[in-house]
Amino acid sequence: MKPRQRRERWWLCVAPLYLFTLLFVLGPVLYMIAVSFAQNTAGTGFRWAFTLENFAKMRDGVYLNCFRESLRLALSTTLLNVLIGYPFGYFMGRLGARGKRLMLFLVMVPFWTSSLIRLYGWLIILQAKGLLNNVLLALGLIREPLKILYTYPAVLTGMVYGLLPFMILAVYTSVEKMDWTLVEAARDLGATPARAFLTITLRLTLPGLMSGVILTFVPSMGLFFIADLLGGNKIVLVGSLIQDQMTRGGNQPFAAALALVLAVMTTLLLALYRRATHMSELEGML
Amino acid sequence: MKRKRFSFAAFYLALVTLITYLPIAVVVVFSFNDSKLPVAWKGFTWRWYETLLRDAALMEALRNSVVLGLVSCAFAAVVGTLGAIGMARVHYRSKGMMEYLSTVPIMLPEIILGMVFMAFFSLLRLPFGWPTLILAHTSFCIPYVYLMVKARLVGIDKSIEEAARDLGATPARAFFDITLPLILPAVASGCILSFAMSFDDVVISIFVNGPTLSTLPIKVYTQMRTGVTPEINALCTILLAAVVLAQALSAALRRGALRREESNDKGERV
Amino acid sequence: MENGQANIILELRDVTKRYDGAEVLAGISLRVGEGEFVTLLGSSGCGKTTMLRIIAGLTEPDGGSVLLEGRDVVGDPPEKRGVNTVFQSYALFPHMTVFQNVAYALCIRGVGRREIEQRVGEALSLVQMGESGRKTPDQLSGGQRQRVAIARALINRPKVLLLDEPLGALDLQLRRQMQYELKKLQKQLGTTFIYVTHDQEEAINMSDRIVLLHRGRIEQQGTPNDIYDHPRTSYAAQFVGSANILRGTAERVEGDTVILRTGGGTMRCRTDGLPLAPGDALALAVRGENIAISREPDGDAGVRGVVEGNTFAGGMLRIPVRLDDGTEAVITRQGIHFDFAAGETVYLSWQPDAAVLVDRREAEP
Repeated sequence: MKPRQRRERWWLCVAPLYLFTLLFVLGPVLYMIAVSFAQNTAGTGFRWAFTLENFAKMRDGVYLNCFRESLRLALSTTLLNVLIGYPFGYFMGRLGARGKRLMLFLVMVPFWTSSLIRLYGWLIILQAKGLLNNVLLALGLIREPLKILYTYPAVLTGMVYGLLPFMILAVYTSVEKMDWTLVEAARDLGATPARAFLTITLRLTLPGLMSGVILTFVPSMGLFFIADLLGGNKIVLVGSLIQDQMTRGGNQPFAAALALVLAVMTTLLLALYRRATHMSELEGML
Repeated sequence: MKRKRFSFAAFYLALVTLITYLPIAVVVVFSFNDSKLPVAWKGFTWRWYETLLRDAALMEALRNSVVLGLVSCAFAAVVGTLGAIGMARVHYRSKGMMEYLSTVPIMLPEIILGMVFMAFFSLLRLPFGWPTLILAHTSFCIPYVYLMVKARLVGIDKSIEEAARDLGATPARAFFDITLPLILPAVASGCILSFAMSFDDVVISIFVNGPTLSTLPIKVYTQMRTGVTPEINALCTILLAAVVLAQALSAALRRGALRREESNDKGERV
Repeated sequence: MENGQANIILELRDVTKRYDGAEVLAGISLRVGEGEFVTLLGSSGCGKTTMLRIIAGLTEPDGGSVLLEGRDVVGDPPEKRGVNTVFQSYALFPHMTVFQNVAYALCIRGVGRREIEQRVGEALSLVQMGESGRKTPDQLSGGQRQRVAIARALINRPKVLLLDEPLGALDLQLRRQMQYELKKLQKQLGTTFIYVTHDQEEAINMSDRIVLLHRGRIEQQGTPNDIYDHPRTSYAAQFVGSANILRGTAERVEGDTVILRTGGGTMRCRTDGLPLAPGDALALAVRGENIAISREPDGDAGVRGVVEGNTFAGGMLRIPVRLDDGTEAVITRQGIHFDFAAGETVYLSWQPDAAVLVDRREAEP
């Protein structure tokens, strides 16, 4: 008798979440899927006529290239983040309690500051008459100021920089949970330090590394403004393309189709990740 | 051998941290530069801070961002917290699906969310501006609160609430006396996180802000494309100082709470 | 003792270790013979685990040397030592099955697939876990994890097996059973075991030799019987077998027996041939079960005290008696019957043979 009464009350608790999610998450997503199959008309409108032409259009070299570029950027961003962030999170996790507190503080401050501002800092550093060129000139390493801003490396720098804290925190969280006697046990059983690291530490911190990969890869597919600001208009990513089609281009169905493809790509990746590990890593991170 | 490895770790940590702080330091330094262009040091000045206070548009953008963050985070706190508590107890078949859907806004690249909202809100003929911004921001704030509270609830012993019921508390009473205080820290960190995300968001906002309403990130973004005035540096320096202060404060509070807990433990043992 | 004989497999020479300025090991020297079961016994913080870690190579000593089969291994990494450890927390790899855990050391050494299967199978059946190869550690009970940890540490056929309080996490009944099994296993394999514990019962039941550690020093070492019957110090007497330590002044020596005077009367104790002179301040150890209790003094022998109550614990009745000089002596009896009431004045006495002089450092051979 009591359980039923309880269940009725809990229904009230989840109602707002259900309502909001259905209305403002599922609704828009379904609408986007529908629009992606609609037909574009002149101006900003579209017609409800089932067509695959929006997807067919993507086979065009320009757009394929755009996907390739986005993927390349996202993958290199993620890879660099792993290479820089994993050692960082690992070393951080092996510090003493006070060291950990200090490093956590130092990592969190940029995390809470506006990403645009930090980007602006890079803009100042990388520009033709900026800090980096001045330092390089003063050291005599170069004669002419290098053109760094509005190049691919500049964009990559911005992306890696913007997403690094996520990777560090994800790795740190799992390294911190490591039971180091396991490494001692491996050494005791004959493993060299490198072997023990590969078979034990790396394996056991893999979930953290994976959440770091997700946390950097997913956003990097859509952070068009970094490429926009540091790359000029030379590098067109899927993100910028969607924004362009949505606003200036006025082709909503095509934008929707592009977004759908991007969404499917990232969702597949997430599903893969979910199978490999659990959401708890992501939840425990913050 | 051990010592050598340790110093490499320290060196690496210091180096990466230094690089991380370099752009921030540059922004701060140039907020005091007596020149409109951030290329060379022309002497110390406060004038960007003075013009900042007189820059009505920028101050309004700041105010908008704060209001937007607070309102979306408040909505998210209510919906997300209630949802997490309820979800822990209901056993609907739709639960798994709903749980997944409700976290979709932080699982998808922001650009998709922005684009989708823009299309959907125009379908609904919502006036672009405050309503659309708040709805969009609330949608990606909810998952943060929800996930935080959910993680905390997993750690709470269910029998505590049952003990309260056993001692005569009504379900509502047991909730307010027992469960709520225990999950409050999680709600708070979820709120702080979602406020930060909202305050920093440019991608989604740019799709749904409408023609007249501007948030701080949008303002900074447009300025960065056309030409930044050092007022922005000054504003960033102030915000940075606020963040550092808040972080230090919360760290101190947490340490205090920890110490209290420890001394409580000792008290109990005696 | 037998460690003077040939076939010394492990020797520690003046090993020292400090942590943050605190002395953990203050010059430990120890020889362990092949096939011996040696227990390092002591309370927490006595340095026993540090000693084990130094032998395993997980901690480096500040000074002294560790010789394995005559070769100094200080500075050698743990993987090069031919010594394996059963960790206190078992340290089973959570991401591997039981089979993979046990096979780990063989995989590292590049042993062939077939040999791995055979040897892991043998090792698992040795600890009666032959059926559980496919399980993961989190599917096992505490006792089963323990067995897997032992199999994993034995797979390399180590010269010396180190065990760090391996039974600490198990309940009493399982602990007793595992004591028996471990001892049997050790006999069967002939492997040298170095076993760390704070539990005197484990030490007495299993060891060929007990090394009692106290504040980073070896307090006493010898066979369980030796330490039990001839504790040299009051610490040893109290730690092994919970003896009462009573103090008095030597009055006279009668043959093998010394008569001591104390606040509440006189006590008798065997001398073990120690040179004693009247007036010497002495301490003696006597176990609770050997103390007789009566309402009247037994001739001139007997110490007066007041019964403080009694408690039943571990199948024994414990009766604390406050002696006239303020020391508390605890008398133990089988069963739950006791004729004396709390507050009653009584006299304690014992056979001279049941008491042993302790803390006579200058008298050590």
